[in-house]
Amino acid sequence: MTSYSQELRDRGAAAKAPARRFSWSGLTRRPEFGAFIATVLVYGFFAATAYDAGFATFDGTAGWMNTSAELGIIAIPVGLLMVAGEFDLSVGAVVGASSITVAIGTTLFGLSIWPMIAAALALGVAVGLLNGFLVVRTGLPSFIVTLASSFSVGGLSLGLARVLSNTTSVSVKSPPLADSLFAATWGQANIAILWWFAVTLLGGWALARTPFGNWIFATGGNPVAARGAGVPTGLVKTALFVATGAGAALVGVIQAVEYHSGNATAGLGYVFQAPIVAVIGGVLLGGGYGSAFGVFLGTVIFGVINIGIFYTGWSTDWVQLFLGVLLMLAVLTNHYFRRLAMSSS
Amino acid sequence: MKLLKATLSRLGKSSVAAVSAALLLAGLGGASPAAAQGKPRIVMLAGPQWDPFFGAMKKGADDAARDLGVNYQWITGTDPNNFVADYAKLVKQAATQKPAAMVIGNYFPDTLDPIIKQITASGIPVIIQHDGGASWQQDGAISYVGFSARDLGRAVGEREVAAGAKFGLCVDHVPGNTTLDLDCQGYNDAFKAAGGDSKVLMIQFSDASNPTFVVNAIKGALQGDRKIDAIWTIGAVQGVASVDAVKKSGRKIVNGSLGLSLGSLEALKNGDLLFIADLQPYLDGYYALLAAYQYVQFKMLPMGQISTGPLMLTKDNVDEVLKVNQQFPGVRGAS
Repeated sequence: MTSYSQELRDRGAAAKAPARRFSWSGLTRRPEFGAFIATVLVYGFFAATAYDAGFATFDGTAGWMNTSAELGIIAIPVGLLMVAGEFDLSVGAVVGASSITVAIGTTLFGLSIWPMIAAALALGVAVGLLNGFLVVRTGLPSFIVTLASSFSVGGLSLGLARVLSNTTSVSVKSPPLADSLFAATWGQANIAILWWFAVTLLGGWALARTPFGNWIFATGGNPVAARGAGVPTGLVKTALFVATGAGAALVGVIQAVEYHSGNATAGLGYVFQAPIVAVIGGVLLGGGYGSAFGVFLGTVIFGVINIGIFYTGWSTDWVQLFLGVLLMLAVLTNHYFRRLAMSSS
Repeated sequence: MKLLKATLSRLGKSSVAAVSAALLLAGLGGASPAAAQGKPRIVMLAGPQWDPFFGAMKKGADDAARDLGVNYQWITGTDPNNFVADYAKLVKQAATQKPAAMVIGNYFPDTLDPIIKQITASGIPVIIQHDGGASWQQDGAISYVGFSARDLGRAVGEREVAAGAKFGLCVDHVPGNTTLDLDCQGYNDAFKAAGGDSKVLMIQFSDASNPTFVVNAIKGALQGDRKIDAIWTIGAVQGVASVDAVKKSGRKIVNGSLGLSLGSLEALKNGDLLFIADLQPYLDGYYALLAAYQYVQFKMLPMGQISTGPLMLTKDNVDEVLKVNQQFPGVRGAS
């Protein structure tokens, strides 16, 4: 047991080593290196093609960053969870549920927004706890468990919203302090971008610099060995499910305050976008490998492609084809550098 | 690989379970007061509940069922990723239960026309509702309650042309839906007739209810094409987002929408939106059920089709609508 946790510590130290001393092979071996190359290529492509439309200006940058930010707040914890070997498909439903919670509480019941924000975040945490509990206790794949909780949470918020307000979308009134926390803007850049940076730094620090981070890698890499070595894999997974629920609820709150409207069905797109950007960012679908900064780059790539295409002025009928090809290229770049890293080690 | 297979097979089983549970719940959701038991059963198949537009339609049908004491059931799909196929299956399934009459929203005529033809041939009276105005007679339906998509688009385009616009942007947030296609074609007709032109901006369905995405997509489209001087969004979420996008682009754009929310009504009041074409989905639900009931019970029918929209909302009548929206949330759409 001691030898394995020693090994884990060594692994952690080894992972940190290249950062201190520059080495080319150390750099290419990092999980986010491929994503970094892809980011530069994709950004360069759109900066050049849509330059005249102002894609590279401050406002143009704010455009894709606002989109990437909200996706990133969800995708960073989802990425960490995937490193630990689990999925969370319930994030989309949590976004809608938390935004409609804020809306119904403030507008229909006239409550102050603060307890409603607390309730929305608590809802995200509760869904996370439930997911974690079910996955750890039953041993069922998280794919199934979170799919079920996604249906349940989505259906419950839709049903309750309809019973209470006759509609799935309710307006939100927010005081200035809430506005400045969740919806402040600099020019056209939203404060969500700062939340995105904060979540990335927190996720990156937790994964790379703490024992908990080692536990995450161990849980995703070889759960049986990890458990044998005394890693509380159940706790690790549950904590990460709570993190994804909280991240999704935060995005629900941000959108509710930002657009003065809660929608029980918002957030559909995040269900697949979050794992997609994690994979683009170098996270292995099987778990055990990945980095928070890689997921961050994945969200950048996704935002740049998705919003950039509208700046090009091309027919948007081709958006999906274009997205598919570019995503494939991004993942292939990733894959190539990962293989290169493995062979040179 | 093994794990993937196992997961997929479990996923298959669980989604079957989830769909049947959803169907059961959808059935429970229908208003069927005890007094209506034993009365002829009417089934209404319509759009997804996650769109507040159809929430208003369901409210109309629920109210009609309560007012008339009809035994009615509301059925809709729950999976946004496979809505066309799921919806077609639901229509077929509902017909096998031999209801006294069916009200069907024909959102995908290519898929649904043959199915509806079969149903009407089997002797079940069908009323087409909201979409499918072009083919209801060929399908053998007894009536149609709704609007003409192409005429709607044309009327909207003409309004924007009259406001001085030359190049329109039709924001379509349901790729593959023929009604929205027709909306945008009618819109284009109006611009072409005035010597201008228009183009379509497609937004993937999964992103359509993400306001951040829609704002930045429309802003990008405006930045990317300097010719655009008018926008038409075909949904409330997209309408509010377009106002934000126009502000961020710093351009002067003639902006109109369809579908209501408090946000879009306030934008109309402020002058940020020139008009909202209100299709009055509540009336779709109410009149379709009313007509079906009267046909089943008394063999009476309105001649031809019932037009339920659009009612053009502008600065002049927005105050009344806001008042109604506050007093009766959800009747016109979002609150």
